[in-house]
Amino acid sequence: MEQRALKIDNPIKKESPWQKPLNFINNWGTVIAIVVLIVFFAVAVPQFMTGSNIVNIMRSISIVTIIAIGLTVSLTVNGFDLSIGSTATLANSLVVSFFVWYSLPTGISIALALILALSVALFNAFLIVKIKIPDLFATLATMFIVEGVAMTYTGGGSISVGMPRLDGTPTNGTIPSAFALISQTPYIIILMLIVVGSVYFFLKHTKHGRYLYMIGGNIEASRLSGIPVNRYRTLAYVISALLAALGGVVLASQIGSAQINAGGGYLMPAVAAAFIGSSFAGQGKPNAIGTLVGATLIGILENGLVMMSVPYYSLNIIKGAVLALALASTYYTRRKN
Amino acid sequence: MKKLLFLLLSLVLLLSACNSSDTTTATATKLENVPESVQGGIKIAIIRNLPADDHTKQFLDGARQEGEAFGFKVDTMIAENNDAKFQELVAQAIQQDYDGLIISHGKADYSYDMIQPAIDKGMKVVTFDTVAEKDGKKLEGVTETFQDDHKLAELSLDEIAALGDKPKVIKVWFGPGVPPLDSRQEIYKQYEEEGKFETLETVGPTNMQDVQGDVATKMNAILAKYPEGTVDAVWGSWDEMAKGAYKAMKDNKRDDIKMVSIDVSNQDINLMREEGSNWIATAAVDPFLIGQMNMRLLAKKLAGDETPESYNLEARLIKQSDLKEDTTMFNLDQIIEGWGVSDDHNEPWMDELRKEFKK
Amino acid sequence: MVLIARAIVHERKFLILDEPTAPLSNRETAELFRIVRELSKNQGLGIIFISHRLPELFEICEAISIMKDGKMITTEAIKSINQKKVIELMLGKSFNEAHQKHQIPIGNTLLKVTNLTDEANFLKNVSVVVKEHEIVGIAGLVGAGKTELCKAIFGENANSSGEIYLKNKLVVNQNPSQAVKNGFALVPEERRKEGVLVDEPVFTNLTAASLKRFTLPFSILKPDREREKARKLIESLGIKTPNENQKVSLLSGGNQQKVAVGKWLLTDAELLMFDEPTKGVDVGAKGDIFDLITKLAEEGKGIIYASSELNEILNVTDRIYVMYDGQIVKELVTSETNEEEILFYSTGGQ
Repeated sequence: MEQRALKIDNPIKKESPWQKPLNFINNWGTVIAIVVLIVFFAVAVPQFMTGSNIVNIMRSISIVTIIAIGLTVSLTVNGFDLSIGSTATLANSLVVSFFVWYSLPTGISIALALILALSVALFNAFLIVKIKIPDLFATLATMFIVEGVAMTYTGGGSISVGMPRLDGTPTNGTIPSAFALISQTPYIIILMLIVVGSVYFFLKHTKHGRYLYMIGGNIEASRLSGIPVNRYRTLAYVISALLAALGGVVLASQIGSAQINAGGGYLMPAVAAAFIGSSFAGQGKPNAIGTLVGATLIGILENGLVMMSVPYYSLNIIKGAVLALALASTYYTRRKN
Repeated sequence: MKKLLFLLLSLVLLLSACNSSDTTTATATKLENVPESVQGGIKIAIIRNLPADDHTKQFLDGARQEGEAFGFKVDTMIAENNDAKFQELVAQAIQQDYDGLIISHGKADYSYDMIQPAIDKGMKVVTFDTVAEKDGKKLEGVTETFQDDHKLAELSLDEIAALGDKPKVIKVWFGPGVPPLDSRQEIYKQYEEEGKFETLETVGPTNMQDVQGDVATKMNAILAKYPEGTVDAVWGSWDEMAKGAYKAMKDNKRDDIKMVSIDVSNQDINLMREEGSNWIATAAVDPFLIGQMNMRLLAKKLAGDETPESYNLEARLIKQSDLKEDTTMFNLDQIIEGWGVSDDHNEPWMDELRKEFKK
Repeated sequence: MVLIARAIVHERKFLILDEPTAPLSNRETAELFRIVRELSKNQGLGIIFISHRLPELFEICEAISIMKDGKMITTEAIKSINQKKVIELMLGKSFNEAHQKHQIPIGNTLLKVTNLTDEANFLKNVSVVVKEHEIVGIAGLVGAGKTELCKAIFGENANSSGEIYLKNKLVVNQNPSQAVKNGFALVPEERRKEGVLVDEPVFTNLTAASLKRFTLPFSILKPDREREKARKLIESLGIKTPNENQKVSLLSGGNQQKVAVGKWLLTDAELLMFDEPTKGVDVGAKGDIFDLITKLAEEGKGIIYASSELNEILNVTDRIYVMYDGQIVKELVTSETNEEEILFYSTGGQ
């Protein structure tokens, strides 16, 4: 303890000549990776840098990003919401069923789907805050439950226009064209940017965001500083579920139907995006802009590799390897500090 | 806290109790003109090894509705193309007291051994798109049904070949390892070698949970690579993937490319009918009918009737130009002759059962 | 018990018991004593029993050795010595330090705690009174219940029974968040675990408990205001840090503690509790913390100062409650007592 104090009074610390460049890579590893990839793909495939392809990439990452931003919020309180994929599936099923089964108007359907998805958050918060099950296990359980609820509700998982219900009741609702518009460019990209922007602001510039990070840093000290810890942890899962549900609604708009566990496939990419994002700009904390950057990295990689005609079955190898590299650049130096 | 837990638990128990109570409706009186062995608490399991999609749902619905019309209790399970899970599910079903099994999309490597114990136990088995063969030997008493995948591929690829002189094709395919897609691929390869078209790219999904969205993402990238006028057609070897490709083409406003696919669902029909849709045709067998036929064959086996060793369901081509304003999966028979309804394998006693359980 | 059993099985000649009763309940302690007596009588085992609970020693031992600062002071037969004498020997007879007490006129009753009992039933019917301008010490050995008492008052122990009055008004501290709203503050014992957020910069630590004061509508933060306030605090508390953006983990223990105290200075806290505030703190910072506490009392706050360092308690406080085994066993006026007396009561003397 005393030694440490001395060190600070005496700033002449021995720094290896590598320290500076290493720190730079540490802080900006993901951005460097993105720049390198862009240059590489632009050279390899001339069509990569066209405006329409860039719009393509942005659109392709929109849903993952929206869901990953929700996960980011749960990560700020040092939690982990595994149930986001299922929640997206649930919202997808709900919103399509409101259209196809009940012919509800667009606004009401979306609002209802989002509100109902909040019950997932409350269930998570109940398990984690009240029963005190560790986050990962609690949300794992929720993940299965919600997946099952979505499938049971839809009677097997899929709903599409004109498809009769499980008991044979014919349906006559359609998906409104206004709803389909959500997943079109530029709206889907604008929506994503709004989500990223507002969560960024919320986390970085409001009292609530500050509290969330504090709780993530040290829950005991936060509690003893008078922060209503349980309320904020609940809030984190509410935001997480809400954004996952929003992702599910956009997914519904994109595929125009409800598919079995359609949202499940977004869990892992969202986790990857949020984790890569944590290292963005040397923050070392989950943050919204970083998550967007992480999702962009994955999106660029996927788009570029497909363009280079890398067979789809090999895609994941390269994807995983680049992710490992991006993460290594962060964690390798952090361990020394 | 404890109260809440208790409440939750009791709710769950209550729910499960309700559930079980309405499934135990046994027939009190026996019907005269109906074989006794298909009456009273017959239980059927349908196990399918494909990712969940519209085709799967319609197949399961067809089989289940037909089964329930006969008064059977029908359970459905899907293994999402996970062979290990699939074998587990089948083994489990064999352990239980089912009277008959419908096995869909089992692979050649293990299906014979997987089904054998069911036969040994005296269960009746009908398979769909499953090759249950070992050393050239087939399982005794099993009826194999196939949708004619070669024919499906031929019908769809003929449409593509007709688009022009050696059209340039983006192939949307996934495999190998999925039997129906593999069969379709055989025809594709044959046509390609015959020079009927030229392949530019192959696109397939890596995220099996959101096949549609994933294929759309990949197709987006491919489309950016090929400017307008350099691609003639997209072949969607499975409609779930075709939907994603269609989505990408629509978003990029690439109606210069025509798409032909295999399999059909309500959503497919809706998309084909959209204004300016470039989805010109799809080749399909009615999946609902497949389900029905499988169930009828199984019922006949239970009744002790004669059943064929194999049964093929005929493929049809659904063209965009044939579709009407109000066409859905359930009135396709109005525009496609012989679609959706079949009297094959229907017996008078089945009608008796239907009448009885309609009440 | 298992450990003792293992030792017995191995047929040793000596058995050393180091604070064996610390984790045990009274009933278990009695059982342990029964076994120890049996071992020494029937099996001829030599037993060394190390404890700071003096009544235990008088109950079970035949001879006693007293150690101080790593040196053996004396060894005597237990019959020829009494508890007072043992304490005198433990402290050294030369102990006679002058109190440097500040003269503060004591005000009206600020805090009244009656019959506080915690959920685990460790704290038993604890009643405490703190007046304005008053510094009240909680003395007691490690494990006497000082930390539990502070936390129970602070609402960390939700289901405890008993009543808390602040300025004659009944308050309910269901959790620390409520306690803070009600005007309580706690500087906890486990500084790095509970007192400060080590990965956060100094300024966010200092504003952690009073963040509401630094917001615009919609809870939007005003970081410039935060930094400004933080810089003032850093100066007035003499926190040694390059700037307010320094991570707290890089500060020394004493400066971390100043941060942990400092965050309450921006709140409306009327009653501040300090739990072992000098643990791991260097001498210089210690003095600063004493000065700060005295200053807070001068401003009219009520202070609870819990510590096992007796000379500190005597130095800082006006009045002392002595705790033993979850109970307050004695109330003493600081100017009329000394270390021997406190130690006598905190080791269970009656």
